[in-house]
Amino acid sequence: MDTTPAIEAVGLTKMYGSFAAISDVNLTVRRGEFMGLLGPNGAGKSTTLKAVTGLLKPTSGSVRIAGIDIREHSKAMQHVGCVIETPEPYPGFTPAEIMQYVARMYGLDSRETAIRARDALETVKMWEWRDKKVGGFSKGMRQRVVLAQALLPNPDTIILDEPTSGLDPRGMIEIRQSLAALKNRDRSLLISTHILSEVSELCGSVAMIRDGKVIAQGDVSTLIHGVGGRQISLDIRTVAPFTSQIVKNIEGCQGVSATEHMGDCSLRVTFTGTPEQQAHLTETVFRSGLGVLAMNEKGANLESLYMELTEGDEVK
Amino acid sequence: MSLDRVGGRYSDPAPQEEPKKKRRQEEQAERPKPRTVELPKKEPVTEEPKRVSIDTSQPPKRMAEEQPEPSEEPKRARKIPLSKKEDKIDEERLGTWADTGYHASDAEAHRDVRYKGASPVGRILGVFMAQMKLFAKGKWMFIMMFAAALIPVVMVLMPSDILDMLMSQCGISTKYIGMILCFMPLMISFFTAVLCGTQLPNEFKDRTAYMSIPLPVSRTEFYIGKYLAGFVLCLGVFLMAFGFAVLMGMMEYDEFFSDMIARALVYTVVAIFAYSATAYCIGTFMRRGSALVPLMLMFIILPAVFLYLGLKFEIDWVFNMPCFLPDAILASLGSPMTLSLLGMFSLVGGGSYFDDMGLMVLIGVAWGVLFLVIGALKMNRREM
Repeated sequence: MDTTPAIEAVGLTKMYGSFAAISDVNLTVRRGEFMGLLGPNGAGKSTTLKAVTGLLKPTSGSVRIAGIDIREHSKAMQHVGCVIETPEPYPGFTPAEIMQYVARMYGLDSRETAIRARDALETVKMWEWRDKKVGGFSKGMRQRVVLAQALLPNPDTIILDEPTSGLDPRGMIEIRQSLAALKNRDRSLLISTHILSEVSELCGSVAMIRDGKVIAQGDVSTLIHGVGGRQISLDIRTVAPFTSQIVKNIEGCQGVSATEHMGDCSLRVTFTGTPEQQAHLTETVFRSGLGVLAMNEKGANLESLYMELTEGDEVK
Repeated sequence: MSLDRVGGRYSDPAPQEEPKKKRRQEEQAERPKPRTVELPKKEPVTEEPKRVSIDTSQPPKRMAEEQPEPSEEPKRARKIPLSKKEDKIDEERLGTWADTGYHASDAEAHRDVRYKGASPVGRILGVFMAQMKLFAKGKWMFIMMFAAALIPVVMVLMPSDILDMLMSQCGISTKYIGMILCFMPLMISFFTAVLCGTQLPNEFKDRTAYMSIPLPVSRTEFYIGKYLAGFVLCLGVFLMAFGFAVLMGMMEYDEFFSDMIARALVYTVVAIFAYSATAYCIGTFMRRGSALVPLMLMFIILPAVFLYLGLKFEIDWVFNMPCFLPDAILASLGSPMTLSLLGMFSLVGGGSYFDDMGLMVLIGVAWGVLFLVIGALKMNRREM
């Protein structure tokens, strides 16, 4: 089995004068992996993607796509489809003509072009607009056409920079579903997005960038539990109100970091302990005799991880 | 027709089978009747059946029967991609399940195909064809063709006394052709600046370059493909104008000097090449598309500089610079006038400045190549 990573960026640095847009970025996307690239505005996500796709030359570092150096651009990008920096299709062309143009670059013959173009345009729900000029399309429709050209050549690796921006909610869901379907086809995906739910839904791993540096990278669940700690919230609802003694007993349990009254009969417990300690806490709650109606557990999620790692950033 | 079932099919019984039939009926009558079991009564269904809505706005999904029938035998044996694509891919293109007995759409079959890629020439050709298509959908190509087509129109509609006066001034056919093409210096400067000088800046301004450049095409191939389209279009239109002028000459004169026309044609090709390469190169340095810079440079600034040097210091070889190529075209035809800076000094008639055709062509070609190389280097280093 080929273990060559789909994307491997080592030591990527890009300097604009004395300003480092990205600094020593190491990024590895394995074959079949879906990775999300997260970070606040100006963190260096787009710069990283541009360096990975050859749109800009890094000051130092190297990028290999399926083992091929990106400096051999046409060879490296042969099995890559990408949407970077909100590109625009030629306004005088129709979607069908754009598909033909892109297909010619990838070496498809006319029959393959016809089959793949139809498949790609149907995937993005633009087939019925195939003979209309792109200049008359809305932003979302143009975005779909651009996405279709990325999917046209059956790429092994797909690199997307905010692919659902400009789309209506229905369009976002449809695109996410189309991308999710690629998981079964051994494709690799690197997606940069601000929408955390998109990453949670699509990606198994995530890389977080801040101030041009990768501050965390790995499986989503490992990061959430590893970096954020095993922090969960337990929302307890009881029949009888919580007394101060019972709350003290709960706070005395190992692993309990904070409690918060949500109402007379509702208590939120922030817990960071081990599963065994959680079991002891649960037992304590049930033994309190208050009559537990519900005990809901909410784990740390990507949002909490993102907020924790990007804490301190001003709104730019 | 009897309802007896013979061998599973209803058919007319043969006449000799009737006694057998009677015996069977008797046997059946003697057999005990099967017990009937009453099933519980079901409540009548009151709710309406679910309606299934069919979305007619979407094209129907391709079914197995939509597979196109092959019109000819497949050229090579086809293998069936039964599972995920393997690492070692057969060089032959897999992607259709026709003639395999498997029922699936071609779209599904093609979703696991890895395409080999186009050759560098193929990619350049792809960019070239796309750019030509863009020209065809734009306005400037038609404006240029209209301007070229105006030549015969104007000449035909011109009053005959004016035409006679012009012909008497010209004398010979090539001078007449040169007179018709007196706008050449301005037109070459203008159209090459507009077409070739704005191609690349517009790509970046309209953000279409962000779709094209990440494709598996090198920046140099992209650059060359686009330039070729601009050069071919400009050359085609000006050769068309040249052809119209020659045609007009043929209508009025019987004698032609083919060596002079051939010389003028060579100068035309080299002039288009040098001017378009200069405008194209300047475009790579600009953020926004502007035809003014290459137009001013090739029509006014460079001719003024070299004219000054040539006249002040009596350096004749500066008149071999490419900015004077349109004047050389007209000079080789013996044109009495030209719309250029040189023409303002009435120097065109002095054809001695353009005697060395070889040197002028060489400098023009070298100039064009140099500017193309500079532009390619800039394009490769451009930050996006």
